[in-house]
Amino acid sequence: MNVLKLKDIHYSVRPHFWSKSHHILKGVDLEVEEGSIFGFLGPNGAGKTTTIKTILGLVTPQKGQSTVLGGSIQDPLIRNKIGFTPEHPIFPDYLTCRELVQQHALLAGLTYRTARDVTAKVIDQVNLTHAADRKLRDYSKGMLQRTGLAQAIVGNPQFLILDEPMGGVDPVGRREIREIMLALRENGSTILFSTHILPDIETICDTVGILIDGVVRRCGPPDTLSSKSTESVEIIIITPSTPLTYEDFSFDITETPMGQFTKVNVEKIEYTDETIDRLRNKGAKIRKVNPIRPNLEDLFLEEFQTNSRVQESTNV
Amino acid sequence: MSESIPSPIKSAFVIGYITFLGCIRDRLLLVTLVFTAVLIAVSVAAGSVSLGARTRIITDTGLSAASAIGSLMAIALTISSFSHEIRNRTAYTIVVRPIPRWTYILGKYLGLALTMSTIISLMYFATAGIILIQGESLPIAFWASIWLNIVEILLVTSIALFFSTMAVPVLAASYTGAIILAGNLSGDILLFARRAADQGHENTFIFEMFYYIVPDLQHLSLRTQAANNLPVPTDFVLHGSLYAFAYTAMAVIGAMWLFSKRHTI
Repeated sequence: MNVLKLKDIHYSVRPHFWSKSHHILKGVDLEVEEGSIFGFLGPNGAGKTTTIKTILGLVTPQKGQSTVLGGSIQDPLIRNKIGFTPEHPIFPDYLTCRELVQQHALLAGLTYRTARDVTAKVIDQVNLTHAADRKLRDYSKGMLQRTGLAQAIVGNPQFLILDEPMGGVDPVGRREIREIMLALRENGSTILFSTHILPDIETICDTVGILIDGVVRRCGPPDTLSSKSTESVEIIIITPSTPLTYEDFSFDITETPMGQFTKVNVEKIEYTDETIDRLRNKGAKIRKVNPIRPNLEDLFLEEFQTNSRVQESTNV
Repeated sequence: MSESIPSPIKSAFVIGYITFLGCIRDRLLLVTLVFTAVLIAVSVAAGSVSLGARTRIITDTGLSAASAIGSLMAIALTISSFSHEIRNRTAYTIVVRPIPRWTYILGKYLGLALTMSTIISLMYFATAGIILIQGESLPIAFWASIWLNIVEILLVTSIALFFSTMAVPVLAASYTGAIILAGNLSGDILLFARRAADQGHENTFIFEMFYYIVPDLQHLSLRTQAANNLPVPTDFVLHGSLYAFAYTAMAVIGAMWLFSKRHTI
């Protein structure tokens, strides 16, 4: 079942009535499966936050359909199943973490007594019990992000939407947030989070959507996305005393000397066995075989560069 | 998942409580301390130069200052509190909760109203304390004056909130300031319109209409009665209160409606 379904979402703004419309979302299509962690990847200004605002009903798109948990976001029953933390939240710094989270627990429909207990539990879940009664102005960035996460999960939501939850957080803090997210998924929550930190996506996401210039360019599990691109292989051999020749190969082979070893690159994975056999026949000693799969960063940059080229040609 | 959908009124009180907590921790104490210090300085100065009229000067100064500072604070506090929460995106976390959007505005208003009532009351208590310390008795209209001053500030707060939902902070402050200024001159506007009509000028209905649009703040002041120790006109207080509550309700409902209809937050 899909927790979220966006179909052809268009959103544009006109800063002044005399200026032209600026198109932010140009037909966003997106589906998020129940129980998964969906990473929403894109450069700054791609429209990630606007898409999230559209999902949450904070902005109304000019065109397109949005279904959240099988219904409309305008339905309070649906909203009661959603948790959200905005990008770089600046919570009222005069409040303590406990006061803030308890406020959200009450707004999520809990009774005062339940809200108090749930608040304590959630604060513990994000490892802030030691600082729960300190004013938020004394919190570090990582602690504030975890406070944001705490207020989002306070009603035990089915669907969590986190806008840049790891933005500006150090590696230790990022790992803590990642662990919390994984634990939430284990408990049955579905998570959509936006980021431009690629390792975070590769580490925990089941599905990735790449948004560039208001359009989702690629979407799918990180592995599937990678296999769509050419996969090559590198074979590490001990550098032979006499240089090898590759004229008899029917496919492209490149060789990179690395001192004691030599790296032989095979353009396609299906040529691996044949290459190994031929190298052995030539007396080469094989030490390692590495499949080279483009990582998310390569894919992201490739999409970004393709988009930039298209834009340049359009402008010309 | 949560137990049930929260009641909008209960949610408004939760938002109001947090707003009150924020305002009180942020500014209230400081403002009250400054006000008290200024009042003590004025009363000491007044005591040395005005034989026999000390109470009158302290009352007049205290009540006028409470009204003016109160109005300015209501505008600043309302607009900054609202715009900060929108700009800092903390309002998003509240409006995505299973509550109607208008609940947020109602909650903000309740919190700000409670804050401003507390501030005005503390200012009046400071004035009363200084009068009593000097061995004088409080004027008859003193407590009725507190009431009308609070009612006036609640009205100012509602107008500031109304403009906050539809304009950027600078414009919201300018619109509210202009309305409050016009409200303090409303009696003169009506007088001007009627005199002009008597003299045969045309289109004076525009000014008369303007008088009915702006809040009549001159009917929400008992400062003269309090300063001169005159009796409290009960009808004046009653009518003024009802008028102000009706005006306030319209402004708050208008703000709630505007915020609910916004396409972008």
